Amino acid sequence: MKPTIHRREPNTALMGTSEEILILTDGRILAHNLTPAMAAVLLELNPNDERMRQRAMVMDEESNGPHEFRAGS
Amino acid sequence: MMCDTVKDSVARCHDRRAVARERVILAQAALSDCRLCPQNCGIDRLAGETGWCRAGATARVFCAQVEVGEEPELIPTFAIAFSGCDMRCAFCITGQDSWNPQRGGVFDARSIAGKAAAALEAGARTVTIRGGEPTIHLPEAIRLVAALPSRARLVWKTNAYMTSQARALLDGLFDVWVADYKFGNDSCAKRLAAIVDYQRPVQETLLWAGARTELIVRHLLMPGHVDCCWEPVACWMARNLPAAKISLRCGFWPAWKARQHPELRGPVGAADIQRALEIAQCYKVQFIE
Repeated sequence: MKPTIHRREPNTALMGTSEEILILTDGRILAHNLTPAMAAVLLELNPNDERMRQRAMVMDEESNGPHEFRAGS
Repeated sequence: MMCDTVKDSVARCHDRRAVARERVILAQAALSDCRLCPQNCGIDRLAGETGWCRAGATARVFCAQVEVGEEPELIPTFAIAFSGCDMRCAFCITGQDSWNPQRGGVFDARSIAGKAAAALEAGARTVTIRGGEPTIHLPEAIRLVAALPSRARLVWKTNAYMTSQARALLDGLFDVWVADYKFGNDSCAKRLAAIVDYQRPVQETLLWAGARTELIVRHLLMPGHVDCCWEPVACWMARNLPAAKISLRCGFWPAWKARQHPELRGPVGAADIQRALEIAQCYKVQFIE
């Protein structure tokens, strides 16, 4: 089975937000342009991932645009 | 009373912005006979001519956001990605935007600097300028440096494929260079990225950056390229830049046109990763994480 790439297309009105994840058939998830929001989502999938926990850090909502949110909120 | 270190830092940042304002003029002039990358096209981009990278005089941006996927010491970072590139990596994860300088929105230094300042205020530790390859948009990248808050810790993320002219224009403007060393030989660079003379300019850039600034060298581990690419990279780094931080990226995926190359049709396997780590141990490579 071909891996599926989930892509959020750039929004030029916001001067671009873009992130991608690739879910492999063996269950691994690769991420590109990882935002705090996506890090928070991936942390939910594996709460024991300490490296992801460090990346899912709190950022101010306004600085990130509407696609972002506070991790843990 | 400010301590000397803080005063030095503040003075350096003010100098940086002033230097950047002067460099913008020089970088803009360089576009009239563009030799920023080793393709040495020599075309007049200010007159509308385009060369190898197809970039004109106007820079565009396809991504500007807070990210946390970089090396831990750099995150969170406000990352700005310029459209267009001077390499043609078949596996480029942002191929659509990186191969096409017309993608994204028109770059506006003041607007982007405002967003970066807001991100820094909210807790971002660094501002990263990248692409595509930002070197081909040097005037606008430097214009952004001049507009960014003086307290910003600036990261130049590059493929290292540039000329001495480009390096001179960048000298002293960035706190950290994150530079790719993608291929361990010119043959793989030619086949996978359409670059004929890869090793020489990239090694020159790495040596130059390593002598002037904090340098993180990235190598994206590619399936089937452990011995031909990673091993020579690890060897060269051990001999020439033993103190540089190395970031071995194992998250390759078959993006863009990668599937045109049989060995690049899947992710990096466990055996390749194990072999890469053995090579790293052999050369006493110190990974950043």
